[in-house]
Amino acid sequence: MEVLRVGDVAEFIEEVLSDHPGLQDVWVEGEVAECTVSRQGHCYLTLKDERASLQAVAFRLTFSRFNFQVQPGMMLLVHGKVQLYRDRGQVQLILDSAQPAGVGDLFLAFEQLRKRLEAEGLFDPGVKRPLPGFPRRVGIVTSEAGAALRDVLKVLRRRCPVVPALLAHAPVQGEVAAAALVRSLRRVAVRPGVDVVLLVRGGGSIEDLASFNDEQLARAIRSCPVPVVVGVGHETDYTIADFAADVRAATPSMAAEMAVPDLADLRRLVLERRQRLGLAVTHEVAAKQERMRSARERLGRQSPVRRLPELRQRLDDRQERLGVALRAGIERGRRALEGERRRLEALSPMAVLGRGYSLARDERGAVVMSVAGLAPGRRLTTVFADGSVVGEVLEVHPSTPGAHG
Amino acid sequence: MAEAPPEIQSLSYEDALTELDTLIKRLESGTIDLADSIAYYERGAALAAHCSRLLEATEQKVERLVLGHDGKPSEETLPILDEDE
Repeated sequence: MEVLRVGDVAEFIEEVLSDHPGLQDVWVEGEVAECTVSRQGHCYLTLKDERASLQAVAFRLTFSRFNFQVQPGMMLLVHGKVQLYRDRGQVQLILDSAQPAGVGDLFLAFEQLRKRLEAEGLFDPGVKRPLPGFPRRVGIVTSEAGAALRDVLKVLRRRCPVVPALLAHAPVQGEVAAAALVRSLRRVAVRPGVDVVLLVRGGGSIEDLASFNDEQLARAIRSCPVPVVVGVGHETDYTIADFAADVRAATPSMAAEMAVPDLADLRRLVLERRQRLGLAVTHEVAAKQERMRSARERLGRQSPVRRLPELRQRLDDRQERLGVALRAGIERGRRALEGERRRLEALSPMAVLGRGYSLARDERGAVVMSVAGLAPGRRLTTVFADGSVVGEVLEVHPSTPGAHG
Repeated sequence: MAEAPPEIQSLSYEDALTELDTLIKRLESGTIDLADSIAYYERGAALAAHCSRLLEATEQKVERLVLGHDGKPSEETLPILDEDE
């Protein structure tokens, strides 16, 4: 028995493939199930039909010649050769050309429905309703087993736990899903306090999302008595329900974010109102008090009682001036008197003594005016400015006329 | 602040906040006489307290809509779901 190595088998397969002319020049028609573009610019596709799926790759140069957008759901007619991709042991189609082969059935149905409902005005911006800022209750329509519900509840609890949630379960895929979603949406929207409904599910393939591409669901959203936020799958998935929604969210979590306010914001809002209210009243009362005070003041100025101190003051003032005048008069009189006294003194003979003169008095106190009558032995009192001396006349010399003493 | 009057307690957060805003604007306009402004203030304070009360709860109530045997819908508390933090 011959044992082959893995590489040998791969080479064997490659040989078989390359030897078969039908596989080296092949036209294939299939629906694009998946398609990704690598960083290098190669496009990797999964083509499928109801029986099988096949990997295909359009390398950068080929892919750059595609003059259309490759999208899942699209039917492609491609040409290329079948090769083995050794690293993965995978048989794949290497494309050298591709063109849309009409569009895939699901996609076509989707597009037709979208166009019809759009023409009907179901998606008009004008029919979209704004979301309540603070719903009393949030309705949720989704599968109770899905990750979407967990995501939604997590966001609601984090942002705004005061708003209760009401779940209306419905399967989100399968034959009965669309009808179940419609029923749940209708039921939950009329429950008391429900002001907004979240219609959500996780991401999926175009087949998985079929229940959200349902005409009845789109109509149920538009006839719902409260606004509906639709959040399906991942950002790139657009469904008919997304178009019909009052608000379209990229994901279930985003839908929840939009449905309720952030509690922290609300608390700030109320706090700010409380402060403004307090300030408004304080200002108001202060203004009123000020007006009252000024009125009282003006009134007070008119009061006759108010004039009493003024009159009293004027009286005081007069008295004061009278006093001052009186004192000034007395002082003036006193000073005049003093002047007179000085003049009088200057005339006094005693004042002359201050200038070096003296006078003589006899034993009787009479002023001696002449030497006549004086004889040696007489006692004379000589008076100076600062006192007097008593002496005896020793000699008498009458002066000759014209001579000085 | 005394217990808010029942008609305030039944107001939604948004309605209460809207009325509060109106009161504040009128107070701020300074065209209200003193007696009225006190009454406005009291009502405003009650509205603000009501709004705050509405924001106090921290435990979220989650319920599930179910149909009874008679086909009538009713609500039951949803068991706490596993958190995958």
